[in-house]
Amino acid sequence: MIDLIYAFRLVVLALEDVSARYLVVGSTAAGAWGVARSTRDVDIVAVISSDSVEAFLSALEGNDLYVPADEARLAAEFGGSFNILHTATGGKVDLFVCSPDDKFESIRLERRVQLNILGVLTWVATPEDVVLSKLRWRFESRSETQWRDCIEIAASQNLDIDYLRHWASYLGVLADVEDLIKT
Amino acid sequence: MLSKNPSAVPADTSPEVWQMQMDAIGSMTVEQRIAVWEEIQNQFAIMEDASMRRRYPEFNDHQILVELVRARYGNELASKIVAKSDALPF
Repeated sequence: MIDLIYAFRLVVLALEDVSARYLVVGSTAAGAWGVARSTRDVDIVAVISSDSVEAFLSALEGNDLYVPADEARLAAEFGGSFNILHTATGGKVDLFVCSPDDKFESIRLERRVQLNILGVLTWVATPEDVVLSKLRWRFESRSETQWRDCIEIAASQNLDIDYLRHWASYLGVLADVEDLIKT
Repeated sequence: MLSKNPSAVPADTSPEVWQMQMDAIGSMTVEQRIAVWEEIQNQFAIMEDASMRRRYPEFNDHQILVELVRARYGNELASKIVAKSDALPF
């Protein structure tokens, strides 16, 4: 059966190895904040520069991992994402490379918290930042699943409403946040 | 114009029961929530695996894994597993 643990552990260890700042986001992070549903892979946002990408690729070598090196280099240079697949167990990590100059990415990296997930001590987005990034992600699609994730986090966690409003305004999702607060 | 957001409470759940669920989740520690999430991932993977084995009873473990990866992530990533196994000396 597909097992997410190995891919997740190896990617986190490689990120730690090259001292990259990163955080677990998406449904895995939402799981820590009360969203109990299955996910197909683990999403990680990381700051990987053109200078550090070769060291990161080296740190991933020899672990039964499929890593599209050219896509990783492109993402490190211009931003973007790539998949890392553990070929022995089928687990997948989607790595989103962010710019350290992006204000929202910087603040959520600053606010990240350390948790033990799948046996790995790792950095995870706060509940407010999971909500904000999900609302931004679904702005066009209006995905009901993402909305329900946000509702469940808001209903079960004591969110920092001032923080949510401030960054929702910055990200252009204030109307959705107000809708969320009303519920 | 953006479409309206769906209501907070799913159509098949009463507002009272939904609130009780949210309160129960809210009262859990983060470690407990992560443990529940991990168990869901594990059970989902077991069901997915069992479903694939029913579909392809003649397949070995490796072939099942390839089909699971194909179903979850598509042909391109499934081909990476095939390519890797082809390189093995057996």
